Amino acid sequence: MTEKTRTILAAVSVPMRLYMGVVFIMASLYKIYEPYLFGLSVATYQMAPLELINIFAIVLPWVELFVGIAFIVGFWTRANGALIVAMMLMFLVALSWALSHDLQMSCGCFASQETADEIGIHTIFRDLAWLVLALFPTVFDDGRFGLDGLLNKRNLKKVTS
Amino acid sequence: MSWKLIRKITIQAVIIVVFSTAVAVGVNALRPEPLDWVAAVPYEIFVDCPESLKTANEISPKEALGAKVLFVDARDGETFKAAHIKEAFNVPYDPLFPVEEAVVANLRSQRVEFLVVYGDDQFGKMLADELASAGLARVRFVAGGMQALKEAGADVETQEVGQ
Repeated sequence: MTEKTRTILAAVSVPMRLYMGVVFIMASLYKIYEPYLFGLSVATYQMAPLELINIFAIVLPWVELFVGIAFIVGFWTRANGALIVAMMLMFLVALSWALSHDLQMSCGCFASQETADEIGIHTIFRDLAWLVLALFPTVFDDGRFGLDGLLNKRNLKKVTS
Repeated sequence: MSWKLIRKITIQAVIIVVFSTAVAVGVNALRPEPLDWVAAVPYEIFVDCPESLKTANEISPKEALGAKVLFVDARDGETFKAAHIKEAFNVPYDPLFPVEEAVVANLRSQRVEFLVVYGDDQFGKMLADELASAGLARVRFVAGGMQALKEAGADVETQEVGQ
C-alpha cells in the first residue's frame, strides 16, 4: 500500500471515527448516570448470570466513554477501534439472542427500558452498519489525522534531532 | 497487519480497559448509593404475559356440584384461607406469571371428570384458559365464581385445609 493510499484511507476514516465516537459517548452517558437502569437492561436480555450483571453495568459505560473520546481525538486509534468492534460484536450477539427468544424489549443502548424503542431486525442492521464504521478505521486508519499522528511526528523529531 | 502491530493494539486495548475499570470503580465508590458489584437479588425484569391459546368452556354451578370434579380456586392465598369450596385446590392466579409446571403436572394427575376453576373475578376464567392451553383436558370455569357455587349449595371450608 502506497503512502498516498494510506493517507486517503486515513482521511476517509476520520468522519467515521467522529461519528462512532459520538455514538459511544452518547451511549455511555445514561448508563453512567443510571447504572441500575442499565443493569436492568442487561438483565432483561436474560443472557448474563446475575453475578456479572452489575460488574458489566458499572464498567462498560466507562469503557464506552473513554473509547469514544479517544476514537474522536485519534489516540491509540486502532486499539480503540478494536474495542469498539469487539463491543459491537457483543451487542450483535446479545440482540440476536433476544430476537431469537422473542423478547419484547428495548436494546438498552441509549436509554432505559421504559423510554427506548423496541428491538427488531432494524436494530441488527443498525449495529451491523456501526460495526463496519468501526472496522474501517481499525484496519485502515493509522491515526495520522489525530493525536497519534502528532505524537508520531514529535517522536520522529526527537529521534532525528 | 503485522504480529508486532497486533501485539501493540492488544496491549493498548488492555490498558484502556484497565484504566476505564479503575475510573468505574472509583466513581461507583463515590456514588451516594453505589451499585453492588454483585446484585444481591435478581432484577425484576418485565416478561411477556403468558398467552392463552385455548379457551375453557363454562360449567354451571349445579352441573359442577353433581359431577366428580376437582375445584381449582384462582384467588390469592389469603382469600382462599378465609373461605373456599370444600377440598378445593388453590392456584393463586397472576396474569403476569405462567402457572408453574409442577402445578400443571399435579392437576394433570388428578382422576376427576372435570377441573372446575372459580374465582371472584375474571381471573377464574383466565386461569381456566391458561390451564387448557397448558394441555389439561376437561377444564371448565364457573361464571360468578365462589358466590355462584355457594348459592348453588356448595360446601364451604374456612380453615387452612384443602390444599
